[in-house]
Amino acid sequence: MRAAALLLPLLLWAAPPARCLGETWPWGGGLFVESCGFAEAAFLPPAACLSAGLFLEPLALPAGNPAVFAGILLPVAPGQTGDLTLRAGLALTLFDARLPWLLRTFYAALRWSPAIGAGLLYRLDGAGLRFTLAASPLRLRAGDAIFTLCSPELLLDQWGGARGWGLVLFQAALFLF
Amino acid sequence: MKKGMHFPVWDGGCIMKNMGLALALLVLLSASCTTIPRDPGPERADLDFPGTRCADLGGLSFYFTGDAFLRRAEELIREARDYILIDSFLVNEDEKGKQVFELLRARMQQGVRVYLITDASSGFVPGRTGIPFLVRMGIPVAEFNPMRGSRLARLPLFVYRDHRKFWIVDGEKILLGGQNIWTTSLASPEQAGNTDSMVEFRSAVACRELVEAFVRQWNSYSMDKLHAGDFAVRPGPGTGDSRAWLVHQDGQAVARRMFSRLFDLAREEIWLIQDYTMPDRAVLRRIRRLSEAGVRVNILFSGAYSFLDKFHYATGYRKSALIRAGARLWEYGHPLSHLHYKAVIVDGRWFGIGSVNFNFRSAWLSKELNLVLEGRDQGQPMLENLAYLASHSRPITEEEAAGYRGTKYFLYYLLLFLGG
Repeated sequence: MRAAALLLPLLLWAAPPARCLGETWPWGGGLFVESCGFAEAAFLPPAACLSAGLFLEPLALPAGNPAVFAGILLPVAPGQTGDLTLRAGLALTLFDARLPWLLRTFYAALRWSPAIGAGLLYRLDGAGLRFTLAASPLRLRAGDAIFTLCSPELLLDQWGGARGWGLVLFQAALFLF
Repeated sequence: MKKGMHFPVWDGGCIMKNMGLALALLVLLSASCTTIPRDPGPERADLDFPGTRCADLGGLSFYFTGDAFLRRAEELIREARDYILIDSFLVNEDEKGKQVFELLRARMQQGVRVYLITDASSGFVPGRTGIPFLVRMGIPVAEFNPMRGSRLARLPLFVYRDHRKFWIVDGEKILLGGQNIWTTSLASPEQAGNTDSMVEFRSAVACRELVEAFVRQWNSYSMDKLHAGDFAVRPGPGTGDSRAWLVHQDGQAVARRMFSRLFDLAREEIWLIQDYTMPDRAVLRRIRRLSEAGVRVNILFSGAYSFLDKFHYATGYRKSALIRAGARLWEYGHPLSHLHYKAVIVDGRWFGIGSVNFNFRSAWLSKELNLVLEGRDQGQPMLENLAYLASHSRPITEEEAAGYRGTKYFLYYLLLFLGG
């Protein structure tokens, strides 16, 4: 079952795209990868983490545009394969604003697209659960992707008490379908 | 699961096992995707063609050199009243590219709407991609499937490219073919420009389909959204009985069905003007079957390659097999001009022209666009051009083809079979 669960997304991802993936408008979702870290040693070790997963953004609203995401998070430097963690949540794009200097800098038509979010981190070994609140002020949206830089997160326990903080250094959310 | 318990997904051996399974499945998947369907279709001449029938098509004109197309493109830009939509696989900031872009900007300043889509491959060919230049000039441009570090997680999809080249002017005139917007396409053969082609026609049916496809793709890659309804389409000039089809591969694999259907129709002779022919076994079997049925299959390759000599090696590897299957191979003898023209002519009656190469990449991994015409009267300029090309070509002998079986040829064949 686990092999099948791994194979299915791999095949969907790598199969000839002329048949199953192409551009569409509006986009509905895709995959994200991010580099992040946390200051909450009781829950996750002090390590650089990588996270990857899928997101859905079904509405394509110009403001207040919601998205849901789910994926896994793994400490990679130093590697801690026993600390595999589920990451899921909701992100809300506040607005998309045109900034002329962005075009001069990147030559692609980007928009400033700040977001706030809430989510959870759940250790797959049952060792714990944390809730997160995130703000993403440095977030840029291209036609086919969203890029986030230095997005801080607050870690809360089950009772709402602050337990630590985290930082998403870079996230690329790439639309696929 | 207890803390510290081993999670199988991250076990090295397990990953290898799963990857092995995945690769085996991918190989099976690839093996099921042949360049041409394995078997001929039913023996019925009245079957319709894969693609969109353009019964209203009229106003056909052909351009067989870069300078001829450039002159016409400049005329069309100057005459445009409302809008110009261009999808060009490659755009380059070189002499001819800038000549076109500056003219487009001048017309934009006079109120003509201009939008341009290009493939990200422009950044991976000699010279400088035209995208920054277009942005600096204020010409709206969208890049299809960008290949950058920021999109690395989409790496397998980088192989999927938009290979189409088409222009839509005022919802009325369409040009499609093999010519990109750069000097290599737009210079004359005497100036080492490609030997290539574009066909111009009018058809509301084709125009509507291409406008909608253009806007859909634009909206997927640009933050400045367009509405197809803002681009008026004017009625086609034809009488409604034109035998023409737009073979538009935009998510469905129709290019291979086009070749298959044309091969089914052949009774006497096929000419494939296809320098990038890279046959798999299904193609070789089909050519063998056609040859045994008495159909002469001719394939015309380029003699000059400029910076594209990798294609000489990649296509060379299977030339011997093509000859053994019964095909007659020719090499166009122009010393400077690379044969980039992509056409198929069957029995002097069926004509296909556009961006489609006869290889796996065009069959499965690219957006492509061809026009298929039936009737000698419609394709007469292509026949005349074929006579010219054939008279300047020499046959490739079996001994010569056997010399193309070295390691270098094999490796380029493997590499460009998917990536060419």
